[in-house]
Amino acid sequence: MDRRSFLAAASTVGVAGLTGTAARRQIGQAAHLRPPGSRSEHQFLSQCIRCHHCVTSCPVDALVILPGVGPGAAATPAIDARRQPCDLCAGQPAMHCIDACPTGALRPGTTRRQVAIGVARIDQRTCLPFQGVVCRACWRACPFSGEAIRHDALGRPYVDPPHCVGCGLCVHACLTEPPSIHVEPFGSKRRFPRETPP
Amino acid sequence: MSRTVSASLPIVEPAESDCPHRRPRGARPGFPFWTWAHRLTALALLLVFLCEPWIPPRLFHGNWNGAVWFGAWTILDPLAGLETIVASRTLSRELVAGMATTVVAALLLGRVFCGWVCPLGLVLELHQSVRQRVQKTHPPPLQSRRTAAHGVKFYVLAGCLVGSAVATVPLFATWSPINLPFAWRGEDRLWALAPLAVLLLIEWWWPRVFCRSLCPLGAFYSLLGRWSLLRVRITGEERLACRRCSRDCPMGIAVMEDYVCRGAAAIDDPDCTRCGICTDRCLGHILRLGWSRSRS
Repeated sequence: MDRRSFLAAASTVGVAGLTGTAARRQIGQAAHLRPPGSRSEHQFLSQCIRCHHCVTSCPVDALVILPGVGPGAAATPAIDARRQPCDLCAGQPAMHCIDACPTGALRPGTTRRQVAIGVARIDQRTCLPFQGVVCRACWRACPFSGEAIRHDALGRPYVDPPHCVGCGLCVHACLTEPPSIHVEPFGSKRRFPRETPP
Repeated sequence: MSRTVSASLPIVEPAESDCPHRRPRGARPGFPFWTWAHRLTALALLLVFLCEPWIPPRLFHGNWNGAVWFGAWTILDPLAGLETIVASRTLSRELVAGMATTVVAALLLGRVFCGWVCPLGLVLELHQSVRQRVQKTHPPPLQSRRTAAHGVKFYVLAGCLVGSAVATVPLFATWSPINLPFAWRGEDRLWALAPLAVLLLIEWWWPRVFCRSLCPLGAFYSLLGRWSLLRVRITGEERLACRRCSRDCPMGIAVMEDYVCRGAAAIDDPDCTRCGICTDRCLGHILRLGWSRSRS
């Protein structure tokens, strides 16, 4: 290898490394609710080519395209659960977005119970049953009600994280404004403390 | 036989011994069939991609990184696919199936994507011909066109793959000036059009520099298309030294000097996009787009 091609190769690797490192800093700073079949924010971003097949295939139009241009979360699909939650294609043989994904960013063969969009958390300061009002809106909306969302002896809801897939149906159904339940996406830096049943 | 170089043909004369042919007298080019065929094909595809939100998804949906035709036929950008492989360190069956169409097409047909499909290629080619009309010449001289650093794009390709592996995000797929300005859905329009504006500005002075020297996707296709079967064949014995093929080649390939005058049977430049412009311009009608296995 002569000096010129060595310099060209070295500068290629250098520029690519710097760009890659800068791009890597951008990812995972803010996690979003990803379509079903993704495993983590990081995994999803590494395999998503921003083709938006999942967005067009969604029967309930739950997926929005995040604004911006560049690596990181820009132009990737996400769920805004308060606007339109993912109903996990209830009553249909398979989830459409997973079938549509051409790169495996949404892992094929994911069953509804294996979906890991995030975990719901309840804000007890505003949740109606904690204020003494009877409300079962989230419980009624939950596709795994009785498992993911349960009630204690006083009728107050709590989330059982291993069963919650993060679909956001409870967020959409919540009666308070802003909602007293929200979904924390996987891949966010925050942890998910298990809500202890009273 | 005297050879005069007209002002509109600032080209380098090959040595007398290289090309002992006569200049044409009264010869006329035929109807520019391939020129219009490849431009209209690319234009039709561009319209389909721009109208994507209004087309039923069972007929077509997607963008230039990946599209699904007729609800079943997935076509992926091979570079975007390769980048997700190195970024995620995984290989999925869907990915390979999606890349198969473009990879097989490139193996058989070479850089045919760049001439017949690529929306950026179409826009830059039209920009190039507008520019020639406006400036009423064919600058820059062929010499400088030929010495453009064709190899840089292979470094860009390597950089995209290394960068994607480091970033763990497909890099070119997110920045691609092939996809961003020509897909309707999702992106920030102003930022998406910025790379196109920059390229149009640069290419006013340096025509087709992106396709010839920078595009990593073009580099990938020209690596794959090295042994492709579709080529511009050089047929016939009488070779007129009119050099319109060299003058008008959008990729700056010296068709006359490097291939015709050397008695080659076909043009095997990996940068050839099979656009067929040289076959339309040819006054001797000796250039044909066709199947050829020979490597000269």
